[in-house]
Amino acid sequence: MSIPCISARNISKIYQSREGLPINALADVSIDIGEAEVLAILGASGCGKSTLLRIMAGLDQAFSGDMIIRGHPVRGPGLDRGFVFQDHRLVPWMTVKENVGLGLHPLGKAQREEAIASKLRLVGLTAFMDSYPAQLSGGMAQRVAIARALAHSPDVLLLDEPFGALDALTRVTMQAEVLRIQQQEKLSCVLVTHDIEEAVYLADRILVLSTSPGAVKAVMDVDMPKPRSRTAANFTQLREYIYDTHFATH
Amino acid sequence: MSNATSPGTVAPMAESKKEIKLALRLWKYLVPISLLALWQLAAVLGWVDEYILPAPSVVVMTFIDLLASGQLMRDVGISALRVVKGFVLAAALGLGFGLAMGLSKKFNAASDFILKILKPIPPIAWIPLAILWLGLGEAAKVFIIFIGAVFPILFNTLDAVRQTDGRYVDLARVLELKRGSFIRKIVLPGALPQIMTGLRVGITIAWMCVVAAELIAASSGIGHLIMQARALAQSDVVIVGMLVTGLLGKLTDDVLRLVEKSLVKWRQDFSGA
Repeated sequence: MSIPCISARNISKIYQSREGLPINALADVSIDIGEAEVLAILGASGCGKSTLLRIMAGLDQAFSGDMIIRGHPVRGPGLDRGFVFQDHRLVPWMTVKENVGLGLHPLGKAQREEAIASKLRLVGLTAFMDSYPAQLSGGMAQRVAIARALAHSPDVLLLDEPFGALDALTRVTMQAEVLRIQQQEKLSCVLVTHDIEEAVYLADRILVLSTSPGAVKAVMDVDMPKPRSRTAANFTQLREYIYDTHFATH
Repeated sequence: MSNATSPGTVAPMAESKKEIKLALRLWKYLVPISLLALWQLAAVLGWVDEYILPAPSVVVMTFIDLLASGQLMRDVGISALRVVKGFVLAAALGLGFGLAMGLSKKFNAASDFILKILKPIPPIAWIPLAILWLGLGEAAKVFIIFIGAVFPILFNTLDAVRQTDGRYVDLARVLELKRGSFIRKIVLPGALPQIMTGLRVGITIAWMCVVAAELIAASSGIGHLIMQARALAQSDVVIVGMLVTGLLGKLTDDVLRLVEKSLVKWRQDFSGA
């Protein structure tokens, strides 16, 4: 691995609960994300996986340890990282085109138009460029959100349970869509999810976080060529292995 | 009756949209026309004294007379001008203070307490001071209208700004939006529907206030027309004055609603069942 895209070193975060008790959200998490690599952060809800992603994004700056983005410690959010929220978070009074262009303020008008057009082409929504978010389906809206996160050509795409709000069939379609985009653009991605199948389908490596404290339980390579068949023996084996080892309640 | 609903008389469950629209239009006009007919009947059959409640036909005739003599137009023009002046002033200050208070915690802390105390004071209670400070001229009436209209505009604007979805703050940070463009692109467009609501409440109150101010101290305007008619026991003129005020209030509200509709194209509204 060359210089990592993101390098997390001994990230810990303790916050006070409402009752004033200290809660160990993250404990000593270290992980590197390489060029064009997809890392899935897998864990139960409340394990701190979203907090870890928010620290990478610079949205959460109260932590200890070092979060290094391309050799520089993170100092806050920035356009070098793209972020996709669980809800599409499109601005309802802006058209699809305006939403995608929201982060393109450093560019001139011509470059902005070009970036919007190319990213809408990438997610296959050129025809909807003048639509309002209320006119889109959930899957389409999330595709616009992905186009917006990629519009400024970030080094890495951070996805925070991006398909959690979608129905099961749309989710499968969107996973394939993200895989296609990731491979086409050779993107580095960090995907936060609680869906084991999603992690096995998309990730090159899976980081399993434990719950309270959110610590690294396991890091495993997923050594299968993409696109992967969800019904192939090695796919289901790995999925069941992760479930049995880390999440089974019986 | 043993069988009230034979299959032939049951209305079809799925009415077409056109039929529903027609039915709604019928309701819209049927109710006021029936009430009007009842009112006319009451007058013709002598149920109520004409001195207390003149027949609608009499009111219409009086309306036409007042229109023809030019007196109504003169009074309406004067009142309307006062409403416009007071409303524009209220809109300018209400929007300005509302935005400033919504966007700046310090500004809000400095003004919130005083304004919350001033807000419940009825505009009529200001009339004595208005006359004392500004005399019997135009300024006092414009001031009363301003007082009435400014608070709904101000507090609706403040609430509208404060109700900005907090999740957009994260979005703005991720996209490195500057504070200025965050306000311009996210806060203001999102606040617009409720700001328009405040303006519509404001214009309605402005019409209430102009008549109230003219009832007490004026030599012109719709309020004065009503007051003069009361002294002469012309209840038909009083009613004309009242209905004209209501009509103008609805008209100006409609104008603002059209403005809102053209500005807020993105929203899919619920319009009742």
